[in-house]
Amino acid sequence: MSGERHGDDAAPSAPEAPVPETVLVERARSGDDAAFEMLLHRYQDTVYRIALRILRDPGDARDAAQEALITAWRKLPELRDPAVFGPWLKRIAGRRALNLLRARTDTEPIDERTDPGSREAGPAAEALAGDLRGALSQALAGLPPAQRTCWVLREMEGWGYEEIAEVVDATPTAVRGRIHRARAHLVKALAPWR
Amino acid sequence: MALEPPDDGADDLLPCGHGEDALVRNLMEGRTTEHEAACPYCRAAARELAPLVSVLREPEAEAVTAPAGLVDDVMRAIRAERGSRRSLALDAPGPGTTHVRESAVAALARFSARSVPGVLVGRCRVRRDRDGLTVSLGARVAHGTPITEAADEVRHAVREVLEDRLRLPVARIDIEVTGLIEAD
Repeated sequence: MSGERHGDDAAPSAPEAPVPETVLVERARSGDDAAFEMLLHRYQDTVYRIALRILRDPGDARDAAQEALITAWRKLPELRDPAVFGPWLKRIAGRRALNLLRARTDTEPIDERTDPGSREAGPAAEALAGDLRGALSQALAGLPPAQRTCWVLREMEGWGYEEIAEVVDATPTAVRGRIHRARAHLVKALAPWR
Repeated sequence: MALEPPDDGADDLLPCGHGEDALVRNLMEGRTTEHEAACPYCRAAARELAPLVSVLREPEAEAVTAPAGLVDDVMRAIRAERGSRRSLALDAPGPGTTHVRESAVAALARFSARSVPGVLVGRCRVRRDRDGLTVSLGARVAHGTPITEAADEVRHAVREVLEDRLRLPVARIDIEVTGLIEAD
């Protein structure tokens, strides 16, 4: 009888057996902070990685990750299906990162998006000279925020068009177009490494 | 790729009809379809994409891990925010339960202090522990109002409404006078 197994829970100090994620989500949704904290430990690396890949700055990525996790807690009651917590949280992370990227791009005085010469600017670029990964970094910095986000989520995170579309508030077709344009830009920037 | 980027955003097809995204997926996984191996357009595109694909395939030097303290910071922010959302169970005969949000209890307490002349209550928080409710509030008083007396009146008003109306025992009421109301 499966019901009798509950008798094992009698010892109150015994550590709880691993709880399925959906149960953690349900608990967190009903106000159980410990359950939410466990979910945070499980997902913090993923959320931070998404933010870092989009923003390419550790400080900004930390801010975006923190905002995303707090937003997730606030919106948790709206999450209908606990089984999709992971993808749902990742979309929130993508959105926060994109928003921060947009805000940051707006305050940058020089529009480096259309200036390929900015690749050579600054000591950071010099240090990365000859480094393919560094060149990609520089080239990504030259992309408009939404294009960059679409490309990162597709190529680095392996998301589908529909999921990306939700993050950038566009149709899947528009997402496909943006990824295509981003690729064209990156292919051009990396041409010397062919 | 090196072609003119289309503006409708829909066309990422190569001239041979093969999708660029599918080609990239295959290149990243190191496999080539028969068509891709034979088609000059696909082969040209693959050459152009080669540097990009090689970066994407190369694992990052070290796994990305969240910075220390991230979870703690988030939990702290959440707990601070939750304070205003917690509910207090009222002692009622039932059947059924009655809960009042702490923020609603605090609002009631704040409202009750309106009866005290010369006092304007700002922030007001309510917490419950074993001893009962702890109410902490910040108030401005009108210039010339005797502060000790006014604080006593506030205490009396708050205690009355919480104990008589909600039947929640009040352990203590902490009042901080945060400023003066300018006389007009």
